[in-house]
Amino acid sequence: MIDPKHLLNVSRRHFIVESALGLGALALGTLMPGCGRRKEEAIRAMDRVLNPMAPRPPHFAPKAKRVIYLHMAGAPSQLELFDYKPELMKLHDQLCPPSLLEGKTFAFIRGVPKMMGPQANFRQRGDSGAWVSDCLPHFASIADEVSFLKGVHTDQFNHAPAQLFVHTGTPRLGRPSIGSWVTYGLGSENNDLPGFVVLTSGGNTPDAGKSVWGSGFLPSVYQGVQCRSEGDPVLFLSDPEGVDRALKGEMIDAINQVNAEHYKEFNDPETLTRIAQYEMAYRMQISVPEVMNINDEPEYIHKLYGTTPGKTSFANNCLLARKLVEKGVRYVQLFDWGWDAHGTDPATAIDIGLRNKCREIDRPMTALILDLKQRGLLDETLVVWGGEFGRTPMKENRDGKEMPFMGRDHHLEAFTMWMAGGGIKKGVTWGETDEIGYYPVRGKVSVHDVQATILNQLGLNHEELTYQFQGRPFRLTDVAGKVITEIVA
Amino acid sequence: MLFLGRFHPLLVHFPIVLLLTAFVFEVMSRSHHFRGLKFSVLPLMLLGSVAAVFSALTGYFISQEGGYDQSTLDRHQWSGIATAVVALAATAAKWRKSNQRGLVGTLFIILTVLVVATGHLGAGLTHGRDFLTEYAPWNRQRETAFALPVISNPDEAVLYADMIRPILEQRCYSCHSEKRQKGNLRLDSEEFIRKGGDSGPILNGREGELCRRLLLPAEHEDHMPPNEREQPSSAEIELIAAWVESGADFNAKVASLDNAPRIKSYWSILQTSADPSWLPDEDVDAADAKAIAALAEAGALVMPVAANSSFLTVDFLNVRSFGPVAEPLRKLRDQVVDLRAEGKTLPDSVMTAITLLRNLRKVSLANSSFNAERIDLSALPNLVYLNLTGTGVGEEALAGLPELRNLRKLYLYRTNVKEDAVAQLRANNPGLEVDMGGYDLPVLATDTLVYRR
Repeated sequence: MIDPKHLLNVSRRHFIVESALGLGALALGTLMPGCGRRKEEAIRAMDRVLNPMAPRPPHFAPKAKRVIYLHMAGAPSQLELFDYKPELMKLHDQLCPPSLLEGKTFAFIRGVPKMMGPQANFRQRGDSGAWVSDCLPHFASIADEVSFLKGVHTDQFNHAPAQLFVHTGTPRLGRPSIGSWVTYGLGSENNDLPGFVVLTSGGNTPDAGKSVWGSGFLPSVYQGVQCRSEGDPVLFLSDPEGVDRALKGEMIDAINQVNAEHYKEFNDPETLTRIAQYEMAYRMQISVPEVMNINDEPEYIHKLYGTTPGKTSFANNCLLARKLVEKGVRYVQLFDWGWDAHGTDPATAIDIGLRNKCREIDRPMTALILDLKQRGLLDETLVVWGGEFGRTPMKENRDGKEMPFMGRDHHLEAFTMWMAGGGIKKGVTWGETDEIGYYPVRGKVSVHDVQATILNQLGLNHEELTYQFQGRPFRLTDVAGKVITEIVA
Repeated sequence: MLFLGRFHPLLVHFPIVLLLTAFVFEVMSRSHHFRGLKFSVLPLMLLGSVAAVFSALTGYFISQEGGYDQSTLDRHQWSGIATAVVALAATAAKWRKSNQRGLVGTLFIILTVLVVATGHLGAGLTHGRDFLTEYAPWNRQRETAFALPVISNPDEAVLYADMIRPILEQRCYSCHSEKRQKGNLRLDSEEFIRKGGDSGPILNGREGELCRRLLLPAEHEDHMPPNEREQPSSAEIELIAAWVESGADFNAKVASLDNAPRIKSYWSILQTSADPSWLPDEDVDAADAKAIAALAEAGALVMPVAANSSFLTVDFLNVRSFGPVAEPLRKLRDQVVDLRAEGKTLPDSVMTAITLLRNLRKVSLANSSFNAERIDLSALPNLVYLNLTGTGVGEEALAGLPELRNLRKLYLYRTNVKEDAVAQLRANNPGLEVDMGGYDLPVLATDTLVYRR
């Protein structure tokens, strides 16, 4: 007998969902034994609620099984790293022609700024002849392993919306991030680890906050789990003083018993999810500290990556990313903060701070590619590198004034990204900007195209990976996106 | 006149329906049961004949626009005129209350054949001759996928003949060649390409009609090829654009052109497209559900390679005890194509079961207890990917490998295999990539160089 008081605790939405799923599935199962397909569908819907992380087959045979996404938060300058523009050098310190300013809005540039030539030395690298500057000497040695996209464009010129756009497909809050879509579409492989892990470095989390790894309207189990490389990997993961593992086990058993009673009474599948989550958390107490511990890695690996155990760094996070994908984590998202090279102080100067940031990532990200490669993991691990937009070919003149350091403003028309492994061609450069790096003139691709390509490598059709919400199906790429077949092997 | 011509596609449906219905009613009315229908036949015939006359007229007007395959057009035109004439004759015969059932019947049969033939020819004009049978079960031709010729030395290739023409042929000829000339444009010879179509010359840099329409977004009305057709890749379009930009020379070799590096990079992108699928060509039966359930019970992840595929991926990641694994794995010998057993201590029974997986393409035994003395890898002839990193095996592990002709990737990091043993393997199988690992990055001065103000 259901106590009427319990009904007061049931929200309208919950009631409707529960009756639809519970009664609907029951009715389909018993009343319509002939309708095998619909029954199967109902069972599948129930299964998704009960085992949200159970692995699911992709739409088509995938090239990649896992993704490591390296996001340089703040937006690195393509003009100092990959997009070599000798013509821009000739225009250095000349006033920007009005045609490039008409009808444009910049974050900080006011009035007429001066042009600024590349502040790095470029060379063509490897057999592919890809242009990489001397800011990334180690990475330059593996240019043949990656494919560059030089004509990526976005439509957001502020960090938070641009980061949301890159990771959720829209500049506004409330949509699921790519990692959530991927775990929603494919589930998670390792029973003891989250399917979507986020690691941050550089002293700050991205401007857009945790929404860039949020699950939006997808069930919250699909959101990214942020792990720290210093102290407890997950906050409050270790047992408090005086509580040993056996006691914790008994506690969780007791909670689960109560939850099981609750389930018997209300038949709410969400309760089963909760029981599963408690059990997973208990297992994670052992498995997460294990995988997040880099102390046991051999010395030559530490030398390769440039890691220092016990600190928070991009290098540590790169090594962790390799360990996580090795353990079957589906989507590893790295954010490295500090790339916003406006030239307001030495740390954001193109010729000072930017070079220091490059040094911090150069060895680790090169080591990551090489380490994945030697372990045979690069074939099925897609590595993506990029920022949320590019930087202007003009020198920033904040408030119309000459600035103490060389800097570049946010630029949405063109920036460079690269991808490697996971069924991406080696040594291809696709896309080209004009002589000063302002607009893409060939091979222009959008943020949605990049997202469609990431999903494509995982065997997911970006047009079919949808979720019904507010009365219509939603997808990561909204109504756009085209797989960039030019870099797909 | 051209305005009236555009009504042709609308009007043609009336004579088809009216005349065919009249024929069916005429036949039915001869049965006692439906004799009442005979009063409907004449009005239908009258309306149908008038509609046929107007269809023929508007058809003549629309044919003046041009752009249709001439021989099909001629046949469609004359059978259309014949339809109108015969329809009028049959109506007249019916009108005079002729009791010559034979005459009316004969005219009706001729008319029906004409209506069907005219309709079919007309549909062929708008949709293409093979439209109806394109997906017919007996039609195998539809599976010809887009393919470009292999060019060993792109510098010596003639840009138009060797690279551009094959693209135009597969993407454009179906509407712009001798078959059809939509917009009065033909792209199947130098003369026609230079001449252009209704919008004038087409080779005028990136802004010229050819590049402009190719480069427009697919949703744009003017975009070519039309949105519903299979689209060329951006690299194909950029290659055509690069040819036009270089002056649209029909005989120039690639090396002689200013933008040769760009052309060669596009061509290499197109040449390396479409990695062949690593999955077996032949299909297999669906896997034994009980065997899958038994493996899953033991903690193994068993997943179809893709939705609707019978091929399976198996991963032992979460397996704690291998006791119940070998038996169900044997039952999946046809289906398992991809297997990961990383970091696991595998009992001999499981290792033996693995060698029975006849369709296995990828296998990772990294950091596992793989022991080459017990396992004969040559039993897996279709292997494409083999990962033995961290197994510490010696050269004995390579014994069976020369027989694996399809092997493309072999990983031997942290094994005891020496470089010279691998050299032999590489010489045997030129397509094989062996990765010995042990990568190192040099220590550079810039590694520790901190920039300050």
